[in-house]
Amino acid sequence: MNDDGALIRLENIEKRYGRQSVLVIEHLTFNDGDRVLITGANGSGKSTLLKLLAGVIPLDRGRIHRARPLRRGLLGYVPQAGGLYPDLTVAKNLALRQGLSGVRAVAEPPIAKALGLTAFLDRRADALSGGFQRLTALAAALAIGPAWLALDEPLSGMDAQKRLVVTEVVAAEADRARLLLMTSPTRESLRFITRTLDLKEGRLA
Amino acid sequence: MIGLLRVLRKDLIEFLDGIRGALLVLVLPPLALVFVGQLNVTAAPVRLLVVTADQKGEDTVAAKLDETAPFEISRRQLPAVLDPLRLLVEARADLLLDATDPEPEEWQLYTGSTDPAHFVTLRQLTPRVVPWPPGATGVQGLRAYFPDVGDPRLNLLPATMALVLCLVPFVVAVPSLIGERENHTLDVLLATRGIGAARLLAGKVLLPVVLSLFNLAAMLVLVQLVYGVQVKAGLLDVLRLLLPAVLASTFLGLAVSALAHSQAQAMLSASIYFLVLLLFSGFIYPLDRATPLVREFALLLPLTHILPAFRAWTFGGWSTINPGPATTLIALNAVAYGLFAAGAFYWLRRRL
Repeated sequence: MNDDGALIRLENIEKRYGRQSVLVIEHLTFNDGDRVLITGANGSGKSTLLKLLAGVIPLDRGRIHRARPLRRGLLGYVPQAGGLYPDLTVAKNLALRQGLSGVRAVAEPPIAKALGLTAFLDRRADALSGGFQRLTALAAALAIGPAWLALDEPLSGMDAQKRLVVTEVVAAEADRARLLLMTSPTRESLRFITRTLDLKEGRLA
Repeated sequence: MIGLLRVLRKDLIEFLDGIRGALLVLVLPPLALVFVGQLNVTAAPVRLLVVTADQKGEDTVAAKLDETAPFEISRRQLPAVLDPLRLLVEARADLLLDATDPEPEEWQLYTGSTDPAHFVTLRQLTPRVVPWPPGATGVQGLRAYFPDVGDPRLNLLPATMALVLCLVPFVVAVPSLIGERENHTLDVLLATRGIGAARLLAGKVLLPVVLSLFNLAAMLVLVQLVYGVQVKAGLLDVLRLLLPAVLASTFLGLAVSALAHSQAQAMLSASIYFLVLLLFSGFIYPLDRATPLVREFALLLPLTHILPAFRAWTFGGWSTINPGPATTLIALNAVAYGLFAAGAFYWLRRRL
């Protein structure tokens, strides 16, 4: 990487769905220690950007360079919806994610307690309310001890109390992780965020 | 009533959304019916090889043979060593009449068939090979190299096992990618370090293959315990055919899974695959009686390539058949469907 401390560098990227170009970014860099909030209206390209950065979808043009610490480190990724196996219990979902990432599974991960999921560990994911499903998806992403985080609207669908819990937990994880990327349709006022990116119709505002 | 119609309209819109839904429900079943009409249109002649010692023997045979019977007759002079089974295989004949003895009463009729339905036909035709006057002795019966083929209890065993080995991997594979996509766990898997797209697709192949091999082992034990069909030598040889067939079905299932709109669509395609395997692979109707169009189409089905070999192996005739073309064709199937699955998965990823 040429940029000092740059963990991710995007060069002249474009993503299309069919013929429609949904995201075009000429140049963008994320540095070590960045805690980035990506905002924008619905359909502005926030989730697409996060998926590209996480390697979920391929680019149509351009390049994304990831520095070695990110390539070697685990990514805690939370999709905008779902991200759980509905037939499995919360505990099994957490253990499954840990197993997929090569992390030794523990019966009751501390993150489950921090997010208030202890009482639901034996419950099937599809039997949980929407808010608790989002909490479980977040817990699964954090249970692997990720080196960087990509959270797609982690606060959506949560009541005030859960938002508070999630904010506290994500803040604590942000202190530990090298990079935090988080999307939100609104400009959240979160104390741990160090940088905000605005997307408008697939372009940086 | 209006409420019911609204629900129906909603269901129709949901199910038929896009070309794939319409294809699955409206086009493929009637198309299958059109093809079925072409399955049993020609009467396949029975290939009869007559071996004689000399010209006099040939003349005797010519006088005795029923020329009106539905045989495609070829003749051969007695080779240095008479090995009927080898001759049957080399000449691709259904029946061999050993007419080397000057006395017609000593003539023998052989078959090396390992296809139960075909075997039954041959047995029925036996009296017409050399018709004898009532009360006279002659070719009394058919000498079968693999007599188990004629046992009606065992007829469907190898075909069913082969069908299971082609169907199970498809059924296991077909909901896997669409299920992950619907749960948004596909995103999570693709974002997981050490997995990525290529390994994810390759990993999705493993479960159907492992389950199919487990099924094979369980079925072999069961047929031995229940029906006394011994597991034959050459299992590794036959696996060289079965494994590509399992892989081909798995890849096809994954490709459909990547292209399907919903799990319901994917599972419907499994039912249609089952129907197509039953009808067009030689499972029910012998393909040699079908039109060339159906025979060409059958080449696309993994079951078509493993069915004859698996039958032969089950009844002990493996060493007598030449699986060469089947091995090549099934390998081509596996490669083609593998590429199809990779392309469909790439297409799916681009639309996540």
